[in-house]
Amino acid sequence: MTSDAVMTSTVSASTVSASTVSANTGTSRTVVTGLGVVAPTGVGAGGYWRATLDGERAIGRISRFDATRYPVRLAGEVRAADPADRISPRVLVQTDRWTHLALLAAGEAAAAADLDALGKGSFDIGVTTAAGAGGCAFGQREIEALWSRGPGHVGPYQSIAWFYAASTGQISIGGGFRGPCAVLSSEAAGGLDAVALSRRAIRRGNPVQLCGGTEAPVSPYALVSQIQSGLLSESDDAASAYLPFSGSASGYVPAEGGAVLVLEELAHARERGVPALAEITGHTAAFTPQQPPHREDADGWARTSDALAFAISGALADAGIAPSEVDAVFADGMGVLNADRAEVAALRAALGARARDIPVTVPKAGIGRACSGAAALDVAAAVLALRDGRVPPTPGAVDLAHDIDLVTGAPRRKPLRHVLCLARGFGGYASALVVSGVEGA
Amino acid sequence: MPETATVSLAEFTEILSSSAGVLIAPDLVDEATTFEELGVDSLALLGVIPVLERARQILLPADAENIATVSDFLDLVNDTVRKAV
Repeated sequence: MTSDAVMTSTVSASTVSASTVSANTGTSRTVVTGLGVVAPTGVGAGGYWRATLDGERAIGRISRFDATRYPVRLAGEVRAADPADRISPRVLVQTDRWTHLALLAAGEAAAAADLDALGKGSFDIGVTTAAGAGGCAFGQREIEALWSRGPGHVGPYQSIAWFYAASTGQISIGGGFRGPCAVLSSEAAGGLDAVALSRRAIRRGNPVQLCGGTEAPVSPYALVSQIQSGLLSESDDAASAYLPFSGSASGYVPAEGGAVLVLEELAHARERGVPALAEITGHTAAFTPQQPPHREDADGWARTSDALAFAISGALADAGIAPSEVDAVFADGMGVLNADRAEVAALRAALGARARDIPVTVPKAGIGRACSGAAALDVAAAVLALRDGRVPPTPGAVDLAHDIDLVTGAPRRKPLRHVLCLARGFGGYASALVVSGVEGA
Repeated sequence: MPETATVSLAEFTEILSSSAGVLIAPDLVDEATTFEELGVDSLALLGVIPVLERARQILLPADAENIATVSDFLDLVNDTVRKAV
């Protein structure tokens, strides 16, 4: 045990040198070296991407509990893999499904980036996740036991399964990742903000970060919480319940899932011969102090576009690119008319008249909005879009009601250099992230 | 009428499995086997203790979750069961 620790720290010392130098001289570049995905359309980045290019849909009747008495009865659920098949029983009993999904995604991402080669217990690898509903199903079960049978029936894992940092913690413990760890919560903007927070850690000299977010908000308590937003669709028709940018938009559908990315300092990745899939070049997070009280509040929603426009402009400035260099947009795509209007207005304000000609897409229309996982899935899709020169379609899109070039049907083939990802979280969060191709990595 | 039978190793490993997700083959456990080497931490035992207490209508002393060996722990449980009769 002791000699392993010495070995690890020796390896760490030599591999940290390149990225520390680049951090100190301000030449640090953050690239993606691994992806892990758990989505209603597929578990595994490859399966998810194929399904996304095909515009597949996986929204259906909620199966996690009997939702017939609820106004919302549809969700995108992850059904392609059972965490019990891949996670040890010991970890399963002390974690919520949301963390199970995070562990699946993190495992795939870590393997893809060959993090084993850095040694178990590495101080060079940290973890940053975004969390929203947290361990809601686990917590609900324990609270039910508390109220129906008494405190002696609450298990010892409630405190570590429910709280926001559980996924960060379990990924860190399971993988032996002893670098800087963090968790943040900015609702659906979290997926982008976690990536940005990880990039900060890398710029400070921590060479590798697993980041992203997952969510499993299909439990009675979580569903009720989301219904309170007034933004969920109450349609029973899976094909038309969630239609971003459509004149027939009726709200959005909740979903399970998310993604984990491995971010790495470029020099560090090159030194160990791991290919860079894309680069994280820009980010800005902004905030509207007042969440519009309901979906019909046109003025309130119009006011939210300022924050999103600010985030877009800030992200482009951070990336050092002009609006004309944005090749595609993975939109937040809330599927609420006033919110969609505000997003289009923000794009127009930040990108100018050209905004109507840039391909815009919302792959999450096929799977639902998985809160903290949604934007992480978008970033994963953006990375793969850059790799393949294809912008995936918005599944099921009909009756386009906004002056944008929404990609529908077949994927749009186009050389891509810079992709803009947008995400808005309930409460006022608005974030933008620029993902770029990496030359000759 | 409280259950007076003592807790066997088989029953104990069954409880460990369902409440802590730790799977142990009873025949691999001897006098010296520690919870640590089985990967059972004190938090896991904190979950198992109420289950045992309810199963036998007993109350185990505080710090029972800090006992190091399976054998000592089961001895404590069964001593408590016998005294409760």
